Amino acid sequence: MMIPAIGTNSDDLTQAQSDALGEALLALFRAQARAYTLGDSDSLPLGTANELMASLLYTLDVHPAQPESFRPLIGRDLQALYRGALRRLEEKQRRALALAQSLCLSTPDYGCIALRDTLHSIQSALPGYDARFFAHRIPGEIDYQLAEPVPESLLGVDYILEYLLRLRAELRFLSCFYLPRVLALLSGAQAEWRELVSNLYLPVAANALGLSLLGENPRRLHVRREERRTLLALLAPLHPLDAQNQMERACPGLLAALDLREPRDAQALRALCRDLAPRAACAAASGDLSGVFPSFGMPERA
Amino acid sequence: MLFPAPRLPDGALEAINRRTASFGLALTPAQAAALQRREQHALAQTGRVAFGGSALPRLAEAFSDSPFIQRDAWSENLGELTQLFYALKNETADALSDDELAARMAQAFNGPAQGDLTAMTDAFFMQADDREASDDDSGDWDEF
Repeated sequence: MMIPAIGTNSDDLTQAQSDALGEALLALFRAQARAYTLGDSDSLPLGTANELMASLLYTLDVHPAQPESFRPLIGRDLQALYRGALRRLEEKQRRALALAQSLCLSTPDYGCIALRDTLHSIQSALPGYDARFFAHRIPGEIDYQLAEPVPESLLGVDYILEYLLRLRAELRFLSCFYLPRVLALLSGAQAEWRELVSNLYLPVAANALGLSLLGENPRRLHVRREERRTLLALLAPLHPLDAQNQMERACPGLLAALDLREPRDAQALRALCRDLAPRAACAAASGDLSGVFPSFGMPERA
Repeated sequence: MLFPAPRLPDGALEAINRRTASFGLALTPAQAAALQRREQHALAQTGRVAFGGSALPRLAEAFSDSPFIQRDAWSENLGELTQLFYALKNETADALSDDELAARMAQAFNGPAQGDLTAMTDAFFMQADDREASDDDSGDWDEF
């Protein structure tokens, strides 16, 4: 395995350090491979070998594309480092599983197939998460898209944990509203929302924010036609960045009105503003905000 | 990601030659070096990585007592057997341990293949079929 030598600064990894670290990592890899094959084989398919190495590097939190990430390993007992890192991954696995189980139990039935299937998939897959040999693999099938996606730089249980934490914040926001109003708004936003992988938080948070901008009760969720005209007049003259600033200034009031105090609640709402402002600006330019701040849809007939 | 080539550790060639001496078989250092290059080539061809050392000592031990091995073809035979070894590791989906695979290769070579390396693969799987038909207790290698 090649450990890249870093630059020319005096604090950088020298070739000798790089070679020593490479040997130490290979020794750790050999031990992993031996454990994986139960000592029965001295060779592996290349694909499997690469997976085992990727798992090892992820567990040790080093990234081949970032040479500086190897520096904390210099002169350290890699076996001991690895054992500690493995215990931390297993602890994250337990946290993620508890969170997934909690969300499965507490999430109302919005009727969204993607959300339901994703939660159940994660809950089912987490007990089988292989932190020892394939730690970098993401357990579960994720169909339901978050309003603010998890960075793809995250892997394995870190990805799932971050996904669940962001999902929990979104679902906590949704739980502030009367369920029939949420369902009515979703139907107004997109008729086939139950079958699609569309995010539920976005239209609900957008309307709540829009009503907050107008000084109206955000829990109403329904934006009337005349209120959309007022929003159009408010947002159309603004540069998207100014619109974003205006929306972000409304966030603390909205969060207080909904009694949401967690940092992730504010983070999700700020991310919404970054997403919403350019869409609103573009829609405002065409004179129609009905796709950004929708009204309630017609209820489904029995 | 580059994995280093397998190599015979110091003293391994002498150990191999000691074990095969009673059968009149020996490898020169040049032959051993050529075999290691051939092994690296076999690994690359079969898309495998060696992490625990060379397969040569194991194969030398398994085949040195074969009545079909000729002294002057020992090095060449080992080279072909190494290629076959890694190919069979893939074809059996790593279901057999290295020791078990080498042993069964030797059984096939000395049995149905009658010393013909070109017939080894067929002989190996024919032997497996016979084993399955006779309900041999082979652990989880049921398919082979």
